[in-house]
Amino acid sequence: MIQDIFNKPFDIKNLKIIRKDPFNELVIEFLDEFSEKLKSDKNIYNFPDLMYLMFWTRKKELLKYKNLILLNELRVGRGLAFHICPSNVPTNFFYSFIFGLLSGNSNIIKMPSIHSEQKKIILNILISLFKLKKFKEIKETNNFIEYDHNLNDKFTSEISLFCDVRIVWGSDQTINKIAKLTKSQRAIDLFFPDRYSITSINLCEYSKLSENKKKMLANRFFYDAYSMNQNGCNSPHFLFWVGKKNKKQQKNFWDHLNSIIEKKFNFKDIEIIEKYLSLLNTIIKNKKIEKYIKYKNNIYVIDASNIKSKIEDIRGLNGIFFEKNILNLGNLKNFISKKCQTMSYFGFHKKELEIFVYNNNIEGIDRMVPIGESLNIDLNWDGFDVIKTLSRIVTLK
Amino acid sequence: MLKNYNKKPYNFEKNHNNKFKKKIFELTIHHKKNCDIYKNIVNFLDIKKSKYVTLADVPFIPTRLFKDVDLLSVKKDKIVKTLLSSGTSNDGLSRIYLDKNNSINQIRALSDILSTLIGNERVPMIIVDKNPINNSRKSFNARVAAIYGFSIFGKNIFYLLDSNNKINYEGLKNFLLTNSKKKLLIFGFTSFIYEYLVLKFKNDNKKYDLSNSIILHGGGWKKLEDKKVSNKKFKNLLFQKLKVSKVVNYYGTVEQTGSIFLECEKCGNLKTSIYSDIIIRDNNFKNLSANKTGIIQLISVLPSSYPGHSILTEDLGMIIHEGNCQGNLGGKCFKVLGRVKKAEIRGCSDTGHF
Repeated sequence: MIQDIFNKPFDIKNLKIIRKDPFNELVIEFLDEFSEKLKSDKNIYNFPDLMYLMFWTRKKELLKYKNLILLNELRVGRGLAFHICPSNVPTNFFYSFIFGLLSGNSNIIKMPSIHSEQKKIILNILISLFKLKKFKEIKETNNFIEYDHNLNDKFTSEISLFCDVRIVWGSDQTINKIAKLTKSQRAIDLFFPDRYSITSINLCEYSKLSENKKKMLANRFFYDAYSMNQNGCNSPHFLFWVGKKNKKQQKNFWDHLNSIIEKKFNFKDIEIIEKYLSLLNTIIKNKKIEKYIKYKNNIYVIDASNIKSKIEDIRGLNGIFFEKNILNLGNLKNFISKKCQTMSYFGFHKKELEIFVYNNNIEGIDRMVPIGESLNIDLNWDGFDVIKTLSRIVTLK
Repeated sequence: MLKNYNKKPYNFEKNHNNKFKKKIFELTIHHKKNCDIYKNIVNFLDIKKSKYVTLADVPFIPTRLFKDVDLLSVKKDKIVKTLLSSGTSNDGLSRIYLDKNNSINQIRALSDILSTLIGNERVPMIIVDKNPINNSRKSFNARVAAIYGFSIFGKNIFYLLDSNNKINYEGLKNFLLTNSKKKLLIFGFTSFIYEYLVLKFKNDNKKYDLSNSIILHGGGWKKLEDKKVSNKKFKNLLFQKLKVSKVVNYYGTVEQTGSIFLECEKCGNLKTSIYSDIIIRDNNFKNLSANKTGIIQLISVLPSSYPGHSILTEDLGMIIHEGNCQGNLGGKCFKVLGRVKKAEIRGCSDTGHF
C-alpha cells in the first residue's frame, strides 16, 4: 500500500485533477507563504540550498519570472503531472513540484526515499500549509508519495497510463524504463537524463585578479563543486584553462581551493574511501591518464592533457577534477557532447560566449553561468522552457 | 610462496617487522609484474616515489575495487577457487581468485592460528547455523563463506539449526553423547551465537554442559551493540547458560582469508599474527599511532595469486598495543569499532554560505 506524507493511503482512482492558468494567484500565494515559513525556520541558515529555495519562492521572484516568460496565449496546465525525483539533490523534488504547480498542473511527486534534513524541513512546512483552508485545493490536487519503483512496477505502469505529463529526473536507466511504459496518447514526457558539467576559466583574466578576488572565485567554485558530492548534473568535473598555459596561476587556483577546504569542509570517512575508489577506477578505465596532483585527500587534480575528445563518462567524485589547457573557447567543441549541461565560467564576456555557441555547432551545454551559480535552478532547464512545456495552449479566436 | 609454516603464529622474532616489510615489498613487485591493472594503479600513485622505506609506504587497494574489476596475478586457468564476498549479485560481489599455492597457504596459516585454540588435531565441531548446502546459490554471504572456511577443521560437524532455523535439540543431544569428553569447537557468527545460544537456547535443567568447548565467533558486534551487550556481558551470559568459559572473537575479511585475527587472551582486543599486520589511517591516509580511531588497512603475506596483500577496509578501528601486550609480544593488539558510516546525501549544507 502506497502512502502519502500524511500517512494516508494513496488511491489513484480518487485523484482530483485540476488545470489552472500558469502563475495563477493561488499558487503564487501558496509558494510565497512557503517562503515565509522557510524564512522563519532558524535551521535553514545551515542549508544554503534551502536559503536559495526561500529566496526563489518569494512572490517578488515568481512575479519576475511571470513577466519574463510573457505568455501571450490562453494557457492551462496539462492536467496531472507524475514526477519521479532523484536522490542526489535533496531539494530537487520540491523544484519539480514547483515546475508542475507553476505551470497549472496537479501533481504526484514520487520523492526519493533517502533521508535528508532538507526533505524533512520542506515536508513539515507542506504539512502545515495543507492544514490551512485557503490552500485546500492545492492539498487535494497534489500528492507526495514514496515507494520503491523497482518493487512497484505495476503502480508506475498504472499512473503512466493515466497521467498527462511524466517528469523523470535520471538515472538514464530509470528514464529508459519509464519511457517503455505506455502513456496516454496526449501525454508528454519531460526527461532529465544523466548530465555532467564543466568549468572554463580565462587564464589571462584570472592572473589579473587580486589574491583576495582569486580567493573569492575559488570559494564560489568550492560551492559549485563540493556540494552534492560532485554528483549533481550541474557539478563540474572538467576544468578548462583557456589561453596560454600558466602553471603558476593554475596552481594558485588549486592552492586557494585547498585552503578553503582545509578551513571549511569535513569529509566523511566513506566519502574518502569512495573518492579514492573513484580515482582508481578512473585510472583503470582511462589508460591515457598518467599524472595527478594531490592536495592530501582534499583535491585530486588529474592531468587530462592526453584526453583528446569524449569526456562525458570521465567523472570526479567528492573533489576530483580533470584539468586541461586549451588555447581558445572554440577548442572546447571537441569535448562537448549532448550530455554536457552547464558550463560555469570566469573571465569571458557574454558576447564571446554567444559567438562560441553560434560558431561551433556544439552538441551540448544548456546553461552558461558564472562560477558559483552552477547549482541555481531556473525555469529554463536542460534546454526546456518548463512552463511552456508543461502547459497547453487553448487557441482562442 | 611460503615454504615453512611456523606453527607458532604469535612468535615474533626480533627482526620480524623488517622481514615482514621486505616480504610485502617483494609481493608488491610480484603483483606489479603479474597484474597489469595493479601495475597501472601503483605506477600512477607512486609517480614521485622511487622506493618504499616503511611498510606504510606500500599502496593499498580499497576492498570495493575487487567488486569492480577482476584482479589476479596468475593466468585464469591456474585459478582453483574463487571466493565471493557478501551481498547479492545485483550489488556486486568481491571476487578473490586463488591458485593452488595461495589456497594451500591460506589454509596453512588458518590452521596455525586455530591450532593455538584447538590443538593440532581436527576437533568435533558445532556450527551455530544451518547447513549451507541447502542455500540458494543466488545470494552469497560472509556466513556461508566463513562456515566453509572453518569447517575444514572440524572432524564431525553438527549444524545446530535445521532448515527452518530452529534449534535441533535431539541432534545436539546425540552429538554430545557421541563426542563426550572430547574438546569441542563451536563456531558461528556473533549475532547468531547470541540469538541462538544465549536468547533462544533452553537449558533450564542444565542438561547441556558445554564446559569442554571453545566458542569461536566473528562477523561483527553491531547487533549486540544495539542491544547494549558488551563482550564481557556476552561471555558471562554464555557461561551462565552453557558453562562455556572460553569464548574467542575473530576478525577477518574475504579479501584476506587465512590470516585472521583472534581475540587476545590478555587484553581482550584482536591480535595480529606473524602473517598479518594492521595500519590505521586518518581521512588523509596518514598513518595513525595507537589510541586514535581511523580506517583499518590490513596487510598480509598470504595473497600471492591476487593483489590483496595491502587493502583498505571499510571498518574503523584503533591500535591499542604496539608490541608490548603480554598476550602478543612483538605483535599488535587492536579494536574494530564497526563499519564506516554509510553515505548520506550531502546537499549544499556542508559547503557553507558563499
